[in-house]
Amino acid sequence: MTRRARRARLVTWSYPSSWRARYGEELLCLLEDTYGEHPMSPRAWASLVGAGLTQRGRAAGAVGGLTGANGAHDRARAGTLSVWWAWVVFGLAGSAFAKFSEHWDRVTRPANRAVPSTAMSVMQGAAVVGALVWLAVAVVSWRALARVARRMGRARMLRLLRPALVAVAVVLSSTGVLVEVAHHLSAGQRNGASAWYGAGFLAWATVCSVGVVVTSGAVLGRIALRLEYSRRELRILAGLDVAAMSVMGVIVVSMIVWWASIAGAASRFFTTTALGATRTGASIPMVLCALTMAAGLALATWGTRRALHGARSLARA
Amino acid sequence: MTTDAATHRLRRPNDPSLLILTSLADGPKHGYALARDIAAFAGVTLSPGTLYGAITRLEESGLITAEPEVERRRPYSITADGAAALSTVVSEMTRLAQVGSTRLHGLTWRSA
Repeated sequence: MTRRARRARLVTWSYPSSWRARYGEELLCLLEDTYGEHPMSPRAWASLVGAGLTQRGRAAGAVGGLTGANGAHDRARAGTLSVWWAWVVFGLAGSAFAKFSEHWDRVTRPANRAVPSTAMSVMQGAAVVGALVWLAVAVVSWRALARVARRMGRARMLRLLRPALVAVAVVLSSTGVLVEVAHHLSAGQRNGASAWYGAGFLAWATVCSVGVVVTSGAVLGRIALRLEYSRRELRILAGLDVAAMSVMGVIVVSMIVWWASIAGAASRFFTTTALGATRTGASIPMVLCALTMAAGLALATWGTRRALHGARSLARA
Repeated sequence: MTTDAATHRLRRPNDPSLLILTSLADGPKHGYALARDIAAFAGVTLSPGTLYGAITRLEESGLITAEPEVERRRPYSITADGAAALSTVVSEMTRLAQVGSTRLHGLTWRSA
């Protein structure tokens, strides 16, 4: 195999295996016919990687509707699934924000704490409402989950959920190790004085993030994709999508208010964070958190719109 | 994706799906032949990812169908639904072009 063909095969790995099985060979033929032995253009590389990731998102139900989806029923289901994926993205960024915003009150004068404190309370309240929304989603999905479990059988279901179970075990074990280490350190060492603990914490956070993605991939991409809901359940889920999207919107607005107020009153708070050495309040971690949360909110809005549209069509039918 | 939703996507003149359907209206073609034909009649170079993303969506929507493979290359042909969707969009575009053309003519006449 030539170097170009090896590279082309490498690029097609950004696509999900089901897509590769169906279109992979003909896509490689297209690349051979188009580029021959010449190197592929950067635009072609970017296009393939982007399209591959999009197909992965579609296969997992995160974007673009379910593969082979047809009709209002599937549109409502696909929209709801997008909102769930949006919540995963949003939750990861929100957890990072919770860590970065720790101890903000220590560097802020009491007179300047009212606005950020209120914003923080609103965020925490919204997060509780969000948890209740997902509890309601679990209750509504329970019967559909039981139907899938009966159809699949326990053994197959456990096989599909195996990556999630492994990820949860790894996250719990690494958390246990971190807690044990932290127990022997002083508060100062836990908050930046120990470089080793800092590196360990970063590694733990990475393991947790990967764990959340793997678990969500298994639960949403392998099980939730197969859930079949009744019309009534889909209408309720569309309503819960609106609630989840609103919660995300409230959190984003509160975060921006908190950020702006701290940047105005105590911008040095952002200079003391591990990654963002800045005096303006536009620290890199905060910018990344805000952008990721905004992306989650955008995906949730798109999914909610789709779910509502599907639910309305079902009600009219 | 429903046929209605797929038809809605076609309403942009440079939409890859519309370009592919237009190309296939002339007969079945595989990926490379499609890309060449589209570049020739529309002056648009579709990147491989964009082309196969659109082919995937169109096939899922039932607007195109795959023919038997020939030397690792799979030709695609337009289905009856695809032809109907293309016809609808082309009629709308023709109507729009006619209105635009008529009004432009009026504008030229008034300017003169």
